[in-house]
Amino acid sequence: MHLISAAGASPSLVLQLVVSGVVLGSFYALLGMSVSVIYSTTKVFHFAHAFVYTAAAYVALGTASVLGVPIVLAIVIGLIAAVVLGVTIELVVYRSMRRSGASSLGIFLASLGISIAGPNLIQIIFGPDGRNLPVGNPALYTVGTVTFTTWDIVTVVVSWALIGGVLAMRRSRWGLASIAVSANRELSAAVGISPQKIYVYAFAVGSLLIGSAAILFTLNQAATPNMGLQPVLFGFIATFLAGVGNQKTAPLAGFVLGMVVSLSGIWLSQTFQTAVIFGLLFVALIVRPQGIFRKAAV
Amino acid sequence: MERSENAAGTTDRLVANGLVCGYGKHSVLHDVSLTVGAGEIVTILGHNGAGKTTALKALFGLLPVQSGVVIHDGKDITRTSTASRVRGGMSYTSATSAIFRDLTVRQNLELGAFTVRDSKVRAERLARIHDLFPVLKDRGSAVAGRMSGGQQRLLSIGLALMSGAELMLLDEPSLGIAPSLVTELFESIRALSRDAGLSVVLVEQNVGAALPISDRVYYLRAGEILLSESADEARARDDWWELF
Amino acid sequence: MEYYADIAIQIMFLMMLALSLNLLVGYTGETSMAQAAFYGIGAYTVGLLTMPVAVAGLEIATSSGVAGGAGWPFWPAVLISILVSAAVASAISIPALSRVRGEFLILMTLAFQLVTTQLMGSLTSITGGTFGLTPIPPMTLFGQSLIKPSQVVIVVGIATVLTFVFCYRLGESPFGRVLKGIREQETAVRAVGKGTVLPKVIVFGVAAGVAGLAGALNASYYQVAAPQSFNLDVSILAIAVVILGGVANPVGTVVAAILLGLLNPVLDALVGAEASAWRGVIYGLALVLVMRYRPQGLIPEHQGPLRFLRRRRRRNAAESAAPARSERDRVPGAAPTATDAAASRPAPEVVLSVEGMSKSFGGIKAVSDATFDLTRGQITALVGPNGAGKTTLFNLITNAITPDQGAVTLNGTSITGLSISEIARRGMARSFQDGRLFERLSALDNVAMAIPDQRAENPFILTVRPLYVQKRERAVRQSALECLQLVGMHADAETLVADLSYGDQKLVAIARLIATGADVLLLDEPTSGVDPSAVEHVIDVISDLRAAGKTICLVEHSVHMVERLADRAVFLDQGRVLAMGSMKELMARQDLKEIYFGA
Repeated sequence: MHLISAAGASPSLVLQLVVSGVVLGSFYALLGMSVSVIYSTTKVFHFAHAFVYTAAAYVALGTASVLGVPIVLAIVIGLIAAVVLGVTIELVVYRSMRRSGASSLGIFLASLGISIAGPNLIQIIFGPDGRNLPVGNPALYTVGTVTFTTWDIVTVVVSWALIGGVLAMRRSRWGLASIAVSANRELSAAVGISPQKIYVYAFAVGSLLIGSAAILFTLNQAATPNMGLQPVLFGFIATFLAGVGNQKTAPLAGFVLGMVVSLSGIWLSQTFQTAVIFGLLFVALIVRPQGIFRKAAV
Repeated sequence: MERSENAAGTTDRLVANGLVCGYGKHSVLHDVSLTVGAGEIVTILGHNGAGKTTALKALFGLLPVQSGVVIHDGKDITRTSTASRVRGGMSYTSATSAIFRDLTVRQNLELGAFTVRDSKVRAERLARIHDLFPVLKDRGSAVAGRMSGGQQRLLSIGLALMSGAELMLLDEPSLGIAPSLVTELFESIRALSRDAGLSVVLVEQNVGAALPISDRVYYLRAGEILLSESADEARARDDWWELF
Repeated sequence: MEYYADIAIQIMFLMMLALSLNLLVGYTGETSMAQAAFYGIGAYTVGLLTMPVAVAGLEIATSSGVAGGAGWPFWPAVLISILVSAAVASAISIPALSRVRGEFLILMTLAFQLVTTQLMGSLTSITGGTFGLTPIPPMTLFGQSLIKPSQVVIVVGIATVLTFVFCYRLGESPFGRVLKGIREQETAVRAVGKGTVLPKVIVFGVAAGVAGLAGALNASYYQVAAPQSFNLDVSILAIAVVILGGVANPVGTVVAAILLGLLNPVLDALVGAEASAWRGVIYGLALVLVMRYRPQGLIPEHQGPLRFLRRRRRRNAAESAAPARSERDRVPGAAPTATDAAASRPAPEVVLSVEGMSKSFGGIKAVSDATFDLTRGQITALVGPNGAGKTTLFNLITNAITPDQGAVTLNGTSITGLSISEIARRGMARSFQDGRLFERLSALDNVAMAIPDQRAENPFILTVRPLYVQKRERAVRQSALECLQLVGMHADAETLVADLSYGDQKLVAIARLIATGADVLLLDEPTSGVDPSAVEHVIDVISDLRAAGKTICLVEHSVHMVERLADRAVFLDQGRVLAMGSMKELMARQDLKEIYFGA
């Protein structure tokens, strides 16, 4: 069994787990923000987000390692690809389905189809094995007994910078309009906002965030064709735990998830992290089906 | 059904001719025609479910029209989007969700002017509305849904004015507010119409409050216009039971 | 030969997964992403039960390092596998199914699927880890071990046929009708007196149980249970089969399972090692294209060879029962299906009394201290200006909204606090402003759903006493047809409600209300939105119901209509009862006029 006895948890282990909890939590916060931006505005259960995530990583590593493009440029190209892909899915699939009166379940099933077809296509092109972004090895820092890498710092900084950026954009014309659409779609149309355009905007921003998350992940670990599934699931869980439509608290819920998962390492092996998250979801559903955070004013 | 070709020559701000519409199979309006002149306040009366709200939504393009035409300032707008109607100077205020309840008063007013690109114009309008309804200035940072019913109604009118509307479609502005405020609210609508040439289509069940400020009245029953008369004639009636 | 038998077995496993999943996705309208997890639970359960017991000192050839199993014989182990899968499914589905619909269940089952696959891979000492639990003993039949595909195909074939018959019969039974009702309009199912959580949990369990059976057979056939055979891809493949074939259509599911199942060997021959990836691309894209261009699937719900047979049979029945097609029957003295126990007792004058009903929403009193009675055989209308609280009062009486205060008494017994379905069973049923019909069911099925005491809706009785169920169902359909006849809709009994005009839909809604057998009927705007030419017909039907002794309460905004229909009106304003009397009396009162018109 992989169970580690709690008695064996030394203070230095706990400290190390807190630090990795911050890193993991920041990453999950970014995932939560990304899913929430799309879900709270458009109400689409955008499962194909998993494909957008995978595509961003593979486009970046493909342009860098196959075409030999400088790494920073390759990352930018990967992010652009994510945005283009996300917006294309909205325009070509979801919008036309909405026009023909498809149910939200129907749109979800189409999204599911994309999330299956896309990664398999990537597997046909790149093969099933893990591929790394050619970024070299990060520097290792040790403070007391705690160690972390450059990429850990980058993950925390970039995640919160992006989240902060999205929250700040809520004050802009477009941001305000998207808040309006998620708060009251009919009234938004009545004041002359085009919900269609706001949807595109939400997909663009959400895809940029999920693409960034994919790049951050690939700094540390190898990309695989199925890499997108779990992060997008966690993003959705954060969104639902935060209370649907509550964009501000989704990153917070994501952070809590990451922290809990990491600290559960005191007692449990890492292989149980999905089980821990499932347990949280299950309990939350019974105790607080409307979300763990009280609905705050927008 | 027949296209009114002379509409361009008249001073009517809004002409609706033979409107038929509904929700899927559920047809609500059977054949509704009405006109609204510049600076005129036209009231649609009728029982609940007669199709008053549906009529406003059809005029504003929130519901697709199955047949009939809507002409605004001489232009056929039957198939145009809601957003383009807003840019053309129309506004619609719903009876039940006329404001963004979760947003602040200030954000609400900003959203009202969403179609206005020029920030100077936006600032001017905001100042004018603050003059008209000082409470909206005082409570600018309050969350709209937490204000009193009367203040929410004022905000909904403010929202419509921010867009620079010349033609307001108002659905039951008296709903859920104290009788004394109803009179006050309706007086300010009258004043806007008189001073700024605003045209208003008012849907009301509160006949007593609506008639004093109206110019003309349409009675709607079961999706059909039963009768139209001047507000003076309507005021002369003893009661309206047979028209509901 | 063995090669083809193996392909057939794989396709049949897929069929079993999809046929049972269709009960959930197609009939009930709930999506599960965890079908493969239950498939896997069945496989591991049978493996652990049938593998030989570890004996101290003796090395057992378990290549995966698992200590050993329970040494059970094959078939009892299969039974337990089915039960374990079904029990786990029911347990995890209860919170999601009883609270929120749709997306929460998707999320829950998705998470459960991932957890299960992960645990299969990581709990090495129990499951054998990534390489799987092996060697699982082969299946046995009459003491013979079946190892060759050509032998196993017979057992799996029989299991598949049984699954088809079981799922088809369940789907087309009265139980299946309730499931479809839940899919179309869950509140309406409750409003005609039926619970909805239990059927959902049962069907979730059934779908998982069948998956468990397939898993048990799978594990004994391949003699191994490994995580990758039961991962999310398999769940999604099963969903794709259901959607492609056509929801709520078992024949379509079979066709789609064959099509998608044949992809494997074909792609193997064409692209070799990349076959599974290509298959993912193909069925993923197929899912997108079908949802975009043909959401009803290859063979839509109301089509296909078996449907055709059944329809013709029904039509014959309908014709023989309805000689005069367009004539409407008068409502007879007693309702056709009413439990006549109450009617035989001396009837008290007051059938329903509402006392001191109050409800506030966020400090605003929507209804305050409302007290009124309904008298047997009369039509009482609730009137008043907008926002007076008329519909809210309906919701409070039927406990669709919980009152702050107040009591409701029906036929002398308190019904305060009972659920809407229990109230319907006690003899008071309501209609909805917007109809809330089951759009993709026939008019007859809509009405049949409301007939009370259908023991055939119990899936257990359905399975053990099929003949009794058939007989009962004939009687139910006959009663439903009679109800349709009362509103003059019997000629359209087999028409899908979605294809009826709005006025006709309202009539079907009234027939559905009659079918509940309730004595007290609450009608919420029965004529609103009805074409003026059809309004008269609705009025006649309502008058007939009164003549038949029903007690009716209606919310109706048109004063005109109230004047024609109602014996008595209750005037409400700001949630208070201000006056009662005939509409003429009320209209003559100056004070009410001022309130109504604000004049």
